[in-house]
Amino acid sequence: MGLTYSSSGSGANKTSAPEFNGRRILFAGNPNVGKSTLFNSLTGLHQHTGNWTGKTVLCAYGKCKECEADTLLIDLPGCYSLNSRSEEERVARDEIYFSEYEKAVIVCDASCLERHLFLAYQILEIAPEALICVNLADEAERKGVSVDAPLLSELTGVPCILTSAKKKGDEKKLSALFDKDGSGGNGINYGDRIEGYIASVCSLLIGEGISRRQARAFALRALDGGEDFVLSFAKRLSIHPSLTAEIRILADNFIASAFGGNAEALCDAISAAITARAEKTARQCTVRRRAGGGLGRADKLLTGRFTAFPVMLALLFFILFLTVKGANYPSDMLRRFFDIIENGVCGLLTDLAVPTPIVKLICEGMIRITGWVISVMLPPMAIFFPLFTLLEDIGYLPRMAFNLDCCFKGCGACGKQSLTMCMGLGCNAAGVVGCRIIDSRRERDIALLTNAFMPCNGRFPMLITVIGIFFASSGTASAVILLAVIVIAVLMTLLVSKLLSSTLLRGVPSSFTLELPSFRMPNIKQVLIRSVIDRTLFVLGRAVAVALPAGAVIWLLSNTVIGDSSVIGHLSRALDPIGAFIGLDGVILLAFILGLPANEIVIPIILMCYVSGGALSDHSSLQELGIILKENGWTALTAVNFLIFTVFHWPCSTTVLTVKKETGSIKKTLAAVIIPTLTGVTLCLLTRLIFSII
Amino acid sequence: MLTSMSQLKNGERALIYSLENKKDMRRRLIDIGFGTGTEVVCLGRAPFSDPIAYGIKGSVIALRKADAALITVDREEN
Repeated sequence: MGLTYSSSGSGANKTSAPEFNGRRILFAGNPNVGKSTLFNSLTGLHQHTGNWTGKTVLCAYGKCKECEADTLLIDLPGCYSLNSRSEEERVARDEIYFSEYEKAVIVCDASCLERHLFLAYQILEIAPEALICVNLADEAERKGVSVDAPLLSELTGVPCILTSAKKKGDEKKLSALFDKDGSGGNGINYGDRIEGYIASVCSLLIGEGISRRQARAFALRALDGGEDFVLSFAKRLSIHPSLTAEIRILADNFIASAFGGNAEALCDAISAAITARAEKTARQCTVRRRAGGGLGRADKLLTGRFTAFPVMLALLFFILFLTVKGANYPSDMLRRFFDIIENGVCGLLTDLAVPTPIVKLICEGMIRITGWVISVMLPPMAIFFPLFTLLEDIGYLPRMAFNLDCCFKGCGACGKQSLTMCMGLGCNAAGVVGCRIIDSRRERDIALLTNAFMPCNGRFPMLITVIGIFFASSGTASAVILLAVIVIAVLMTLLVSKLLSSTLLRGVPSSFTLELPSFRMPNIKQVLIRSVIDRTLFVLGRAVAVALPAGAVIWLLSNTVIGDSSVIGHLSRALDPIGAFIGLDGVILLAFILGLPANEIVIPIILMCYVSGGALSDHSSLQELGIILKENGWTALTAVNFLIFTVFHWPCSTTVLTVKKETGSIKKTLAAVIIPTLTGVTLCLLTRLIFSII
Repeated sequence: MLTSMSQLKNGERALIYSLENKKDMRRRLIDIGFGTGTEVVCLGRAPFSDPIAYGIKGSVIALRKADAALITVDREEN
């Protein structure tokens, strides 16, 4: 799950499987084995991939473009096992056990095959047909590890293929295997005691339209699967409830007699059998020419005691600096481009004798606001995202979670929250969905409720604009202030997490495991195509979808005069007392309220309200913008509080809806609105107090 | 020599002897490779000395100190 056209914004809420009649093939595997990259190259979808655990928290669906037959590929979230200790494991397990599919493609990492074969053997236990794809073979070769695919195929009983996620042509070899008649894998021998029990269950089930594989799997899950799961599984296999009850009694008796009623010991025995089998298989078909594993020099720098935090800040500063500096020129170009369009359309409509109010509505309302949104928002994002994606692809983000975990633990939260915060920098709705990577319900809620503290793609450029006008003359200074704003946002996230975990969401920090993947050379071309095109499309789409109607509505509001002033004037005057109280004004507050569907339109609304005549004036430069703001009473305090309120206020409507969907609780959704708002108001009052003293 | 896994110094190797973690965490640790008898090497600590990174079966997995303390290992003597 990452930041793409389909995963951020309103797309973040769409998860259901499409209707499909052809064959279906599942992609399963541990997190971070390049599964999504393979899936993307087979389907042509731009599913976001990154070098960290848990990028895919939902299933992704795509038609295979390499296959001749009609084939739907389903990318499951990465998981370590099917024992379902976390949300993504539950999703993957249910899909593997209960959905209709022809084949399961099990993707493993060549350099740590042994660990990955654990999941592979669990899937082979139930999948009707499977094939094993040993991915990242090139990376493993570099580490001195090679895998014997034919031998692996012999040992597991299913076709095996070596691939390198970034090598061209490998996906064709893989898709060619989809058409071959496959087979189910070899089962595991669980030892005489358990096998005796399995045989007795099988004798009850086989012949009822249930295969030996299904019967064995059912026998095993009756032992370790948990009640709900066993009942669903029985329903899936159409096992009669009375027979199910009989088998469950059989299972309980077996646990009582063979393991003294200790279900944990039984689970250990099952896991140990799979582990032993995985180890044996991996040992036989892997050649390791030198001892692998370990943290290299890069890790000593990135996670070292004295270097970790300076390096982190320096990286963030560097990204922000390039973003601020690089965005100016393309912004100007876009502005001029939209001026030309506006004049052109205006001229054309006038020539066509369209009534003047409508021409003004279209040109001064819709086109001008849309142009403003695109020219201010697009360039910073087109620079920020590729840079950020690079960091992500290299594998830096898990290191960051590793460094910061201690701070989050101190606040009763989970270190993986830093990953969801990074996603929040792109889109809060995506960040909220991403919180699924956090296993503990309580810690997930903390991460959910505070995600809006990270300024997302829509708010980011608002910060850059106001910082540029009021506080910084150079790009370097802008970047420093922007960095400070983000650091404050992070500190507030920690503080509020701490408050939440000692009040509403009380509890102790739970356990966590975090995989630190090897560093990978990112594929620059892929990064550029993916982040620029995906982002560009996303921003443009959203800008058009929101800014066009919003532009029209706002133009109408500001040009419809009731009594002595426009509707928008009445509204903003009504809000003036509250706005003034927190060091802003009514117009700003109104803009934030109207900006609920998308924060991108906040600044254009403010400008439209200020400019007499009710249209956004010609806005060729930051200086001019600054003059308008200052003429309307903006002081340093207003600007500071605007920055604060931009970071801390109610999340956009999409994020709110996503929180509702993820938590299923109206109370928590309200909390997600109230917490950042309250934080913002408090901070604004605080700065107002400070400004009144100095 | 038996000791808790969190006591391993950077670079020390050990075999996993037993896991006393709570149920769900215990299962998860076993699933990702921390089964008994597996060799583990302590690779390093985060800036505030928690969590700790361990090498296991060719991967690097970080655990919090409190979780690692519940795993008993048999330290390999050099």
